[in-house]
Amino acid sequence: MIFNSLQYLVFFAVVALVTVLFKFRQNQVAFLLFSSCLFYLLSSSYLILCLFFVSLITYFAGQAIYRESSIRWRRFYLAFSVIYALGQLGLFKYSDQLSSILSLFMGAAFGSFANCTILDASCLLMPLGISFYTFQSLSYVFDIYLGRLRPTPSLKEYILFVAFFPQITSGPIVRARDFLHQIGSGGRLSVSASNLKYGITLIGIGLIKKMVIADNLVRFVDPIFADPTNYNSLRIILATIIFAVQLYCDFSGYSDIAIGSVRILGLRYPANFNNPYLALNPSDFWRRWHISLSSFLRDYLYIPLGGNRAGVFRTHLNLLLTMTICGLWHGSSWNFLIWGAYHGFLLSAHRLIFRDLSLARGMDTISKTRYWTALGVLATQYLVSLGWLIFRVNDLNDLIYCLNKFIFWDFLSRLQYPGLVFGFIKETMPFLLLFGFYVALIALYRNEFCSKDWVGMLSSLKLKYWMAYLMAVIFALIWFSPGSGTNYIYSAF
Amino acid sequence: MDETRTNIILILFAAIIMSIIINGLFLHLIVKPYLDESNRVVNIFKLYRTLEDDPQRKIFFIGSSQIEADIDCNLIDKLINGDGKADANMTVQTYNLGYPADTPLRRLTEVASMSECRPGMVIIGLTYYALNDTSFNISSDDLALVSRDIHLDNYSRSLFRTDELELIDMNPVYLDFYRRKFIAPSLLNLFRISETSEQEAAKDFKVQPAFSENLTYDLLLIRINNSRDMLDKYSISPRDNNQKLALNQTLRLLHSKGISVVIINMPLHPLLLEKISDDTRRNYFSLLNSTNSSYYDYERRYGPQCFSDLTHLNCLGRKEFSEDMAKLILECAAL
Repeated sequence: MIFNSLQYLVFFAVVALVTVLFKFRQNQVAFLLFSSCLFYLLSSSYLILCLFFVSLITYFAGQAIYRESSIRWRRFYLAFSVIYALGQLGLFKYSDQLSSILSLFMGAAFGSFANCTILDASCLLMPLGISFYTFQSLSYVFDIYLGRLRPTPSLKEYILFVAFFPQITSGPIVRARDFLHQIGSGGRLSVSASNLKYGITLIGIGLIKKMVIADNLVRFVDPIFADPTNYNSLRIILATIIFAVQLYCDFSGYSDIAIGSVRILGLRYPANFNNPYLALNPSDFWRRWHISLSSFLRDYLYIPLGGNRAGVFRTHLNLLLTMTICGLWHGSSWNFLIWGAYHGFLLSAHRLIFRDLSLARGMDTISKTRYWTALGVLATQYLVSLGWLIFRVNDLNDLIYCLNKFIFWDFLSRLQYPGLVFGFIKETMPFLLLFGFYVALIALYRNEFCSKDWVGMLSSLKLKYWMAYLMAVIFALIWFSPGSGTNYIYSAF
Repeated sequence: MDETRTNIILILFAAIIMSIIINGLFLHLIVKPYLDESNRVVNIFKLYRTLEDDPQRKIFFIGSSQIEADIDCNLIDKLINGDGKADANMTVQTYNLGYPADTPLRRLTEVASMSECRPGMVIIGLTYYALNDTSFNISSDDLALVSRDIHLDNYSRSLFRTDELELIDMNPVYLDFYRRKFIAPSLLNLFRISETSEQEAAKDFKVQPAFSENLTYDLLLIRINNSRDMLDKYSISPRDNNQKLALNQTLRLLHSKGISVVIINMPLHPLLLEKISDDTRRNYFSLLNSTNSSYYDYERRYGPQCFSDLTHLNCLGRKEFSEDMAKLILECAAL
């Protein structure tokens, strides 16, 4: 059941309606848990067992860590739950690699036995949202271990935290301390007028991002990356930029629907995106892109590794390691690994230039001017786009070709139109117009654009204007969505 | 209006209902007339409905763009009806139902409606690529837009892929949703003062504008030497495929309704004929022999001066071919 389907909207409407009919909070929690399990069963059937196992182990490990006074046992419980959760994640996510390694060993030991079907990794289905719920459940045990959270006495509330249907497919990765205190305390869940209006507004924006923008961009991106060697620099750069927009609209569209859905139920999730393509530098980008994952990695990996408190070398090593793991979290493919390491390198290089070596001393005042801001944003987005190129290509040969075309510009070969000047103008005109608009936006209005709460503004419209907004959303969905609904890119992670 | 939960939900429903109503009006007032004007398949089915109650004798030419371009039904009507001297009740009307990239499988969707018109004869223009299973996929529009008019028996259904059957079985609500992709062109169409040549061609079942390319021999030589993909479509294996089965099923259904069927092996440019392998030719004719329908071979009948490109005739070729078709119809009638 994908979020941009009528089934989801009907399912959610029924769940919200029934939830508010219950008089007691505990019944509401039980019903939400039942709905979440049903949602998961419909998507992943028996693989719900994986979710239950990881929930039970982290729940009881959390209780044990909290009760135990011996540091050694606390570490043991933490290690056990982490190894189990990550082991299960690794089994499903890296089963191809594991099976290759296993086959290699088996082949060496038993010859033809290596070909037996037990080692066929393709028969392992990936449980829905495994990366997301694993990280959520780990945040719970880590927070208890670090003394930031008391374990919840209610197993029901804890499983709901792990399995809550709006966030299960692609996040955002919610922290236990943010969720459990909302669900476990206070009065019964209710749908207030303001939350309802805000939630519907946000869901509308999410649907537009996904169905009108992202789904329509697929046809420009996929053919080029299917065989990029047929295209010149302009096409490669355009396809990369369009993919960046597609990915953003796809993923943030999903997050908007998830956040909007829980908002209707009276719960609040923090934003997962904050204008990432207006970021001033790589570090700023990661404060704006997939915020729930980057803050998870910062709090539960980068800082425990020593963060920036263990010397310059360790700081850079920690950055590199954290981002490489971030890449690996996306999948076992080599391009995610390179992509993660590349971002680690960007963060490290940015830190080195602007902090450690102070090479850019005196830039602070200059960099606040509009044009330097625009330059910073453009340079950052060029580097980020290079990362998306690595993220998107299908194999190493394509990557080498695409990087060559992305870095060493060659706009005139393989033109789709006859005549160099005409061909160049015809190919670049729409891009130049959009690019000009983007540069004007960041040069003149970046700060104003970033600081405005657009959803808040829309949801505070008077009802008659808000109805016009809803009709505009519905018309856009009916008229401009390509119809063949595609799944969310991040649901594969 | 106060911002209460009830009012917000009412506004949401009102917005949904109003959007659906406006969208429905838009589809019926703007998109549907646009499709009636500009889509040839929609118009072919419309013609079948019109001709159901028409007592006049009818002959249908069906096939691909070759039929569409090569047949002049006005000329054929004139030749077989003796220039208007025949009794109005005895006249025969011919219809050029050619459709670009047509294949036997796509045409199978029309056979039930075609039979309802009780034509005296159906002339099928066929060439090699039509029996190659990989030559052309059926456009989703050709199935979805006429889904309500398509009636297939179980065997015919089994020849279509699942995704094609989904389009054929599309319910009216989804069909309206499907039609929304024509909103942009139908809006643009509102600003046109006169009909485009495509719109005129979509509704014309007598004679289509001739192919105007008239490529030189040298250019055709370059084209044929550079088009490996095209030549692949002109090869036929001895194995059965859905196009061959669809052709057989079409013939079976038409024969069962007492409609006589003639197959024409369509004219091809001598340059293209040189490239067709003996195996393909053997497989093709062995299939035609097995159909129990009469077929006539016109593929080598016309010289290069009659072609505008490798497959379509020019004005001269069309005139000659149409005259030959008129003679053929008269011969068949005499038999």
